[in-house]
Amino acid sequence: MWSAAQLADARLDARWRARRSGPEARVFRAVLRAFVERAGPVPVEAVVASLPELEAARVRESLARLDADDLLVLAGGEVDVAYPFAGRPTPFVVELPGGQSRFSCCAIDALGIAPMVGARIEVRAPCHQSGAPLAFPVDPHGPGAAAAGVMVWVARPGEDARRCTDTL
Amino acid sequence: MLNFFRSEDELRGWWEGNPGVAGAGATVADGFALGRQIFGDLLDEPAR
Repeated sequence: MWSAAQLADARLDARWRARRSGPEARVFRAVLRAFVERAGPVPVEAVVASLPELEAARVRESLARLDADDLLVLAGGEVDVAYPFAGRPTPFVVELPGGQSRFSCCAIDALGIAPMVGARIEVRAPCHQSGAPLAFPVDPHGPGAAAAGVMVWVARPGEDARRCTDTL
Repeated sequence: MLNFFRSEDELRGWWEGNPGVAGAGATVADGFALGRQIFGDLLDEPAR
């Protein structure tokens, strides 16, 4: 087994650090808030409208840079994916407080949503080997007892892999 | 590919059928720690 520290891919970790502090961080937070507030892909125009203090062209440029860095996926005027959220159905369902469901890109992304939103969520996904349905709560401090025994497989990404679109 | 398995036995059974896949298994607790490390503070406004 690997420890969490060993699991962190150095290449991706650099992106996460840039995301938190770089010039696109504000735009990325707005995208993530939109995914929390509504289901499905987020229209670029909705992101622009949520940031009235920024010029629309600057927001669009930031989104393009975030897409180029594989921090989100733009398609047809919408943000299809903004890690950890997917705008279209995946096997990984996260139920937010209040019962609204969202899709996440993978197991690790689903587990990271509770600490990100600071609330207890429910994760539902199939066992990748047997197909048996799994469902367990995750709060900001960790998975609930119902997750005891559950395991995750963390693949080593290819050099040119885009995370979600290449791993689902 | 980052997937869930119901148990270590299920994970081992899958891996034995897919030995060429590069990666590793981890407990759900370690998976959570990684998810928190990556996403935990993404919505936090930076300190001024």
